[in-house]
Amino acid sequence: MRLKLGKRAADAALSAFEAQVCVHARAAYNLARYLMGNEDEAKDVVQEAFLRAYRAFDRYENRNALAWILAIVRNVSYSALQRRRAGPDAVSFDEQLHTDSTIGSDTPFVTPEAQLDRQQSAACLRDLIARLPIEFREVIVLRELEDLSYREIAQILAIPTGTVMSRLARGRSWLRTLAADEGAEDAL
Amino acid sequence: MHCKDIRAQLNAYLDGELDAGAAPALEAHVATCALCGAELRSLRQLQHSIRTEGHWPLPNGLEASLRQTLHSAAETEQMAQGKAALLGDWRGILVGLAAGLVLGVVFYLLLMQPVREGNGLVDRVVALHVQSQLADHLVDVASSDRHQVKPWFQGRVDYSVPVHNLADQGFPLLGGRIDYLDGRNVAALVFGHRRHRINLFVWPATESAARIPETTNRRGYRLIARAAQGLEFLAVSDLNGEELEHFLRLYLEYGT
Ligand SMILES: [Zn+2]
Repeated sequence: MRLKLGKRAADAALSAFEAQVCVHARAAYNLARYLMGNEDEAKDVVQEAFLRAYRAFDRYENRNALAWILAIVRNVSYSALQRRRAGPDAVSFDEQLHTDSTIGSDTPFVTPEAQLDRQQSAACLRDLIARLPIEFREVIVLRELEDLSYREIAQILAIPTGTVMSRLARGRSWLRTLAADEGAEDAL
Repeated sequence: MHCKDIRAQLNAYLDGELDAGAAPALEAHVATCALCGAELRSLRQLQHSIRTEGHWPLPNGLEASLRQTLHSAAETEQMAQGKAALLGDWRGILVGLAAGLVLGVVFYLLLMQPVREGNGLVDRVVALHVQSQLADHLVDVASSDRHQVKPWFQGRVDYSVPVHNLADQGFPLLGGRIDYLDGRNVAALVFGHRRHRINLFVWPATESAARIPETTNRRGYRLIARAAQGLEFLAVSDLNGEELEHFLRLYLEYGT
């Protein structure tokens, strides 16, 4: 039987969780967004991942909160993807890509042209990354956007660091090819 | 070295993961071989683009709803625990009573002798560290300039606070703050290390300071205490132990 947590202690635990783990909400969403391919499911994944993390927090000893929460986000995403694949009305990848490219729809009325260009090129770059097969996409996201080391990535993915390196190399050359095919070298 | 071997190392080099021993040969080759040089520049360009433009913006309201979810989860948990305590079977109640008894004895023993562990202080320090990051109250004086931070403490605390900026060693000074700790105002210096924050509390060595253990882990944070120069230094962070040790050693040995 677990001893009853006083309200104070529970509040303190929540505060500690918020300070150590919730600060990585942005990173968590970014990974979920790339893995799930759309905003709504990515939001659900983030909610579920943080809830799981919170429930496991009193057993948490790892000092690397970022790597910890990203590993949970990845697990939750993969389960969701599996459910989606098994589901009756599976959405195809391409369809999602199209619904995805609505970035900038909330652009303020007067936007400097340069900024608009930049937003379009960012959206274009994200689309290119989204088209990588998932095993290359995730190493690119973890390395470039979350700035994790090969070792941290290897731990999250449970693969050797050599594999992390070769996937990164292939992912990068794939991205450059995709950009060239699209005539979108400007995005890079 | 052949271009083929160089190409195989370019990604690791770009990521700062190539053995230090192998880097000079690669750099020398890339400086003279036009093709490999172009390949490295192209990879750098790609990396730069992804890093500056690849992030998905956080949707509005996600953080707020996340906070909401967690708060209601915490409340539900508390209520469930409260109910369990009220409605628990006899065995539960007996276990509870036994645990209560044990706790009572422990507290009694703790109170009977001086509080050697300084537990209250440890909790307070962790709470201050957490608070400083939560409430946007990281620093009262935001500056990496020790000539600005050190005088700021004068008149706010009644002792001289040694202030150093360890930016060159990877621990940039972010600023200073006054906190109430152990019955007095104490100086808190704030440092960054990658994404982590370190609070370094400094106050004159006293009886109570001697009660803090050299290293303590509390709720995912690590505390390291050292007495030096007639002062008590207490560093707290979510950094791993070696890094925090390293930081405090650098700080105490600064200029010696
Ligand atoms: Zn070459």
